Amino acid sequence: MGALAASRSMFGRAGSRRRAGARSLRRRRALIGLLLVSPALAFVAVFFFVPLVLMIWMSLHRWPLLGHTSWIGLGNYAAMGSDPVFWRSLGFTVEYTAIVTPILIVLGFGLALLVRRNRRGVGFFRTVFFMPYVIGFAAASYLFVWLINPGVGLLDKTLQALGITSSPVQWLSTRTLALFAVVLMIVWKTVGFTMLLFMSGLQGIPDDVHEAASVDGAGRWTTMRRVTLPLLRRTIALTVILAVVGSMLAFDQFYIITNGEPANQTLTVVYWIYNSSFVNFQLGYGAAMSVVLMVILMLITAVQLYLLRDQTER
Amino acid sequence: MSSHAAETPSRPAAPKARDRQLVQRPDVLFRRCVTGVVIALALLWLVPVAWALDTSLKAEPDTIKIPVSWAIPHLTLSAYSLDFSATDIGRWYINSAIVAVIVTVLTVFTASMAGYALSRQRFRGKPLVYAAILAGIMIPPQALMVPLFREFQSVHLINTYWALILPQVPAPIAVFIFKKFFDGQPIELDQAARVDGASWWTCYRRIGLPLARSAVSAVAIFTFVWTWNNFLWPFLSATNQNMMTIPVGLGTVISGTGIINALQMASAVLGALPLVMVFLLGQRQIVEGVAGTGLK
Repeated sequence: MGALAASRSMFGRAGSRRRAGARSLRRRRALIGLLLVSPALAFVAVFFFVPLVLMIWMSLHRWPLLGHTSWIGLGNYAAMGSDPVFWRSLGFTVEYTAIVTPILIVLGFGLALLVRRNRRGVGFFRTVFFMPYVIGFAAASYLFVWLINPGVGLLDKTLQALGITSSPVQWLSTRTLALFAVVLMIVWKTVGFTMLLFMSGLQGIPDDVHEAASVDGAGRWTTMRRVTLPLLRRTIALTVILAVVGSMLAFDQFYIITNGEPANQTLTVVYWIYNSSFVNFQLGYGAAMSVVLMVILMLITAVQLYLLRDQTER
Repeated sequence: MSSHAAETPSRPAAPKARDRQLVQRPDVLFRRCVTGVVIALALLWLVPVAWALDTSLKAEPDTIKIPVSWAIPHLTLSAYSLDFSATDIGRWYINSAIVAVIVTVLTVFTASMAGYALSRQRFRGKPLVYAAILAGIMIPPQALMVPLFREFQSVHLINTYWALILPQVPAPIAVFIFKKFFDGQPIELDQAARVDGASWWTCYRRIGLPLARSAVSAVAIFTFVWTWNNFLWPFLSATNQNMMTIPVGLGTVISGTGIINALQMASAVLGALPLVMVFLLGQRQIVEGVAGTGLK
């Protein structure tokens, strides 16, 4: 029907030569569609698909930063199998993801419940919780580096004042403490976004549903468990996926706060790819690990897309 | 609490005032608790930023004084002035601004056009284009750092604005958001305009874009914030001091100047400041953007 409207205006001016006109019109429209799409497509092609192909190509080579490259087939992938650092970093990343994700979901949902009603002053609290999300991983990480400084950091002072510890804690001295410090930062920084997602999810639930539940005698807890949570299924799924993907790709916060310390025990996968490629100059090996990481994440994101599409079709 | 809610409707004859009080009291108490928790959490959330501000306003010797204290014995802006004289932060600001603004403009422009075409136009290869965009969403940019670096290295563009800007533009997710947004808009306006002889370009610019104002501002704000904060790619592609963006430069303040706490915190505060401002100005659009676009 769009074509009808379009052709009428075209023929209004063109007059005769209907058939030729229709054909050139179709061609013109196809051209315009392609024209509108092409800038975005060009960017995606040059900066997503070319690197993608190059990455696979590189992963099949021994590829130093400078100098000669040589074909080694699946050698890099085989090397990965016997590289303890790779497996440790993968395990660490998964562990980090498994810790961060539930905290973000539960706390984000809790905050959303706390600030969802429009009451006086509530905007201030929403702003406070969301603000860390915009200030960036680098700046936020540096704030926490200072906060957890053993000796003159505020965190140690507070813990000692509360009687939880008696002497300054060397936060980066063990794997667990270092992980704890990063988790603290990441929760502080990103939970506001999860809160926002849940707030908009909660807004999508009509009030009548809750009223109906309470008329039927459901208490707060029952309503939450039987009505609210099931209706938020999609939001929960989305927040989980975003948190998982974000955590699996973690780099900045570990690079800045822990620097992989102690003894490379807090290396994430992306961090190890970075070290292999740009510190050890094994770009081929870095590329091979990138391929593996990408496959893992594509599987996760495929689920995300599936869920998003499901929503539009309803 | 739940039993009250259940019983009240079934006892219509009961004395009303007392009954209502009974029902409401736990609610009032509950609300007070909620308010208390919210305030406590908010204070906790403000601590890291407040502490950074506090430190940045201290004189350097006071930052390492024990016992640790919030008190500022000598209020001074010297860390901030030192920041601008001893580091390249001014330059990083300019770089960040150039990169973030250009990336944002290009992203909004290309993604909205593509989204419009994918939603409104029929053309050969459209399913293929759409599939390519969807596939792009699934590729995490972090996984592409090695080949992307190689790509830019081979054309000698490392440490240029080209390297900083171009790879950050393709945002398949933005195309997706715009397409979904236009799908939700009535097509009649376009048709009317077409009948009146408007070209597709005019339709896009005069009808599509203005209608998509909320999507445009949401995508623009998120792109700006993401680009400004992006660390990994600028960190790889800008190794010269004078090509760095703020997040990358911050690291050289830490390692380059020895440990000067007030200066570090002043830099972090300065680095975050533009974003906080963007956020406060665009807060409504962010919230509406999350609620109204494909992000939900």
